[in-house]
Amino acid sequence: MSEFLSKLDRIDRRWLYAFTIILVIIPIVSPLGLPVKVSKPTRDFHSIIKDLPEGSVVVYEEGSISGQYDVTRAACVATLKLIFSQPVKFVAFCDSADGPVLLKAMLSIVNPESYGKEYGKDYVIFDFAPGGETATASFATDMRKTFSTDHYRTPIDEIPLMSEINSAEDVDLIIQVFVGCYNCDWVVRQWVVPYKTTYLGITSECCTPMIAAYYPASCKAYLPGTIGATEMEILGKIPGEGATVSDAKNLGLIPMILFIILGNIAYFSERFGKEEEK
Amino acid sequence: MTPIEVLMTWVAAILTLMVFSFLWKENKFYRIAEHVGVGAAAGHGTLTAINSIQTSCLNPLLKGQLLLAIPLILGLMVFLRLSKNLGWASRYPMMFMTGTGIGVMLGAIMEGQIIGLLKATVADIFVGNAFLAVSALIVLVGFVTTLSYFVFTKEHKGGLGTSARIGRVFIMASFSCNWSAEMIYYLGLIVSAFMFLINVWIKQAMLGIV
Repeated sequence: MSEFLSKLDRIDRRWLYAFTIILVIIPIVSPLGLPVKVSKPTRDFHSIIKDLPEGSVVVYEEGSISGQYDVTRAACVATLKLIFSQPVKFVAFCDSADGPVLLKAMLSIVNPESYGKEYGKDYVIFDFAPGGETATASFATDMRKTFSTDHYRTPIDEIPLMSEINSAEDVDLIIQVFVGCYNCDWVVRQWVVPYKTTYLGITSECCTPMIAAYYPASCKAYLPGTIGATEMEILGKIPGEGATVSDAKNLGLIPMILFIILGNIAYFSERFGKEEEK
Repeated sequence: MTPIEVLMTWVAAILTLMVFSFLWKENKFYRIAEHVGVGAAAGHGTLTAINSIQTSCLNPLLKGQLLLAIPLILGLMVFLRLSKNLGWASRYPMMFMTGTGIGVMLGAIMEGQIIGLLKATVADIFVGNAFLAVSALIVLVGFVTTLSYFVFTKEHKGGLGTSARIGRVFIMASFSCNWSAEMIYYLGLIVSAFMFLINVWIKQAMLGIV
């Protein structure tokens, strides 16, 4: 037994990769439809957007980056589909350099026009505002001083939607997509504290512990990466990629958990064996 | 798929496979893909920054907003760091950036990140729900004992020692929670890469299945 455990302790890590890859591929080729329990933060996220009164203004702060686009895309797409199905106004800006490209890619998947939305009247997108938290604060204080034109170079004063919107005081809800773990602090400090704006967050799984600390006091709800995307797809009956990703993740975790347990057993049995020999 | 899309899918798929080759061992294909990735990101970042300077500073400046010349000059001064003789001057824009950043941030730290969170936690203790009360109590104990762990002006003995030891357990629990979230996140990246390889590259680009 001890010999087996000692061999296990020295097993080539590539076996772990091979098992994980095989288990990950199975649900992608043939979706399993494993059961998913919708968590309270996701239920809150869905209901807050669903219950927005007609004409509400939603600001969408896009902070995705290319390297992490895959982990936030499904949640963002599900959220954008839900927003555009509501009678609300949508204003987006980006706090990451990759934001405009990624936001446009997601909007091309969602296709706001298919929900009867018109660019400039119902939704507008602005480019990247550099400066991190300073940019977030600037957009909350004065949108016109942050951007003089929209993404398509139309002067902000010529955009019908922006005629009555200029600061956080005109906004009912802010949704922030962030993948830098402490970026959720920006919205809490610059929108929630001074303007009491309702704040929803979308993030990757690894940044979830950061935003969870703000729930539900400062952040009213959040979506944790593809897990949140799957739950949103179930709640809103929105077809998407989240379910497949969740299946693959669930299976892919099996060898990791197994190896962690076996690795610990091997380590401790070797350690106690040596102590007994002494 | 258009021929350009097919070509781009093939390029992306080959680069993805080159990155995955690192799982076997370090090799030059992986390094090529890594350098391509870093180069593309740097190029895109530079172009986005130039675009941002043009739209948020140069264009309004040319339209008469002369005050914007100040941040533009300060921005250019950052590059003086490259000069041996004038490098000192780059500290002034850094000073402004750091000062503004801290000033913007500090105003709401106490209310947003300490008092607000603590108030919400304490309030849960009195809502009349046993589960929420116990949960809030654990958070409160964790908060206080974790803070006590970082008290370095007094030796960790007696009450403070006990509190710090309990705090260390909470810190370790927090680390493990963060680590598991990190693991799930990286697994998500692997899943997405394989979804691209199977659903886009093999099914759409190779087999023509839409």
